[in-house]
Amino acid sequence: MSEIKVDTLTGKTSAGDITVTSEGGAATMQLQQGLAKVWAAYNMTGTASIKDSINISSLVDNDIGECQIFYSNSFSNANYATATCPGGAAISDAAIITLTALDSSTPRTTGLIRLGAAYANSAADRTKYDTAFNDATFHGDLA
Amino acid sequence: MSELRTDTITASDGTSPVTLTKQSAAKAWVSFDAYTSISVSESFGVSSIDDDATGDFGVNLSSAMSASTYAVQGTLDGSPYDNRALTSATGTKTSSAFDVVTLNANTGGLLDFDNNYYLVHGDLA
Repeated sequence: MSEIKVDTLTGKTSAGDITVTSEGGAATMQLQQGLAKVWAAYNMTGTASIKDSINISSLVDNDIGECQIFYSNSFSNANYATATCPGGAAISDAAIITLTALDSSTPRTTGLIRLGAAYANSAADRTKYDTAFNDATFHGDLA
Repeated sequence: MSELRTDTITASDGTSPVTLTKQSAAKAWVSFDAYTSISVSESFGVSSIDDDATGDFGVNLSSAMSASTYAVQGTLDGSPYDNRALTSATGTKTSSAFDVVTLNANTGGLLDFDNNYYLVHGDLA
């Protein structure tokens, strides 16, 4: 097996475009498009804090169950795809907790997003909750 | 610091994929609106979205996966409910498409939401 050890990969024709071959060899894809541009594991109990992350400059605790995440490097537009998962040891297994982008009240931008955790199976409009384990991964194009 | 400039990276046999050390790239992702009508905001590796019924969608992949055992993650938000939006796969899944439903977690009823996000990880064919 050959191996190249290098610190930076840059597209020769276009700096942000490197093509890689699929696992089965039947297709090619752009390497940059498949990379997660932001991910974070963070805690909202007590003082909200980032446990581990990439491309995040800061986390701001806005309210119970709500935090704003600021990116170190901005996206090229606000249409990036988000996948999230909340959890916490104190939450009943029967409870349904969601961690969603609060785009209706605070629209996401290229540089930040506001996420909120709440009971989804509550009759109340929104019962917010400070979840201890919050995971988020965002895919899209960086500026 | 060293820098390699290239347009394509392939394994030394000229056809196989390179190994990204302990890393894996997503093979597809999509952001679409289904609240009023289906509208894809941005995507990668997704050819189209099928509107099968209220809260019932098919996601078609541009390049097939090697099997139907790939991982799908999904999240919803926005109208009509930020906090009661849930999504799950229906089990209808092939190497080139998967089905999902979106629902109101409080009532269990299928609903169309305006922000739908799905990611796919696994091996391409």
